[in-house]
Amino acid sequence: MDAAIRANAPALLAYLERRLPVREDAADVLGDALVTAWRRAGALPEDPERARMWLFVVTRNTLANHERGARRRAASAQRLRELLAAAPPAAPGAETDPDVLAVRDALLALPPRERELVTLVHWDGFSLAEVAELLGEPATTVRSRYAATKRGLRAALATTDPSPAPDACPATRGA
Amino acid sequence: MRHDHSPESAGDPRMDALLDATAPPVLTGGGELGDELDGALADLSDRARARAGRSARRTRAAVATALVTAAFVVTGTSAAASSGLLDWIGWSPDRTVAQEGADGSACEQAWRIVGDDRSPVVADARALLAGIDLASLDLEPLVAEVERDHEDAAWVLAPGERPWEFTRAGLETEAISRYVTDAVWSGLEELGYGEEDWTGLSIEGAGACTDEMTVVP
Repeated sequence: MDAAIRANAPALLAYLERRLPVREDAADVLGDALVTAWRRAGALPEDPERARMWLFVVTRNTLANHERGARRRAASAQRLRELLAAAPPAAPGAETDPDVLAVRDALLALPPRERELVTLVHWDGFSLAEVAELLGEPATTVRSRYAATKRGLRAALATTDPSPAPDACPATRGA
Repeated sequence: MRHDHSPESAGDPRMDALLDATAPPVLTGGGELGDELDGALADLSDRARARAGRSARRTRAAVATALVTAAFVVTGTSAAASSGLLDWIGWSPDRTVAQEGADGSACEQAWRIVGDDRSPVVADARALLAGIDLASLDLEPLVAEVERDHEDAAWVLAPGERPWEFTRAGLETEAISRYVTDAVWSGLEELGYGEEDWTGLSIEGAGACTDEMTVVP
């Protein structure tokens, strides 16, 4: 469990930071998620990739519980809270790009399920197969929903601002 | 970012790049900050492990209580608050608490410290257990915590695994049991004892609660 947490804690923290209105709350939610993970340590898969997915499922569930109103501020998370509050966010300035702002607005206007699907791919780097596993849905369903959601985003953007047109600027994509 | 190059998702690199760019910035490691972040995360994990350990001890006590409660109800005995409960569990408690519901139902819980009687930690644990103030206990926040923990657990059930269903009386029973056992472990920690000191030490609990109740010390 120690090794799995060490390997995945930064990604889990980033996942939470991107989704919580108050960035420092990511420390508390991560703390609760790790408590749950430790309680169920016997269920942790041995394979590192499976362990990563398991930890993300626990963290996603803890976040959902937090969003339903179960708010706890644990003293154990204080050190990380202070670090999050003091450190400047990485890569400032991306939000000044009008095209990015338009896409972000369209993304935020999506229904929660569709928004989660898209953000798991584009914010956290999950493949569609992994997203299907995290959401507990068939991979074919997730692929169809993802394609439909992107079509909807394109349509929404086309009616508001023609600038982010497909193929206008081929982008470099990571691994 | 990793993207599937499936027929459904391929063919729109511009949109992919824009969606990638909508990701809110996050704290990243690097240099001294990386060490600080690693340290804070390791610290959080260590503390989570300790919290999970305490919770597991509480849960074991609560499960024992719940099981005894269920068995007691099944027997159909109506004298829950009588000394019959203590005869039934077969051991002498170090602490008991009686509870009465608004409808007149009566409940009782009991705990004992089990360990090497010659050990100072056992004597201290018994003293802590005996000294817990239940008269001023505010039960609602404790019940809320129990409910939250059950919700947390329900969210990570294995496929096919069903969550337990708890009655209000069961939640209150567990809340009181948690409070009592946690007070003992926390008290031992405040006295300077650590995990290595209480190997072999345990708190056993039993109770019989059938309906809504309030604490009667």
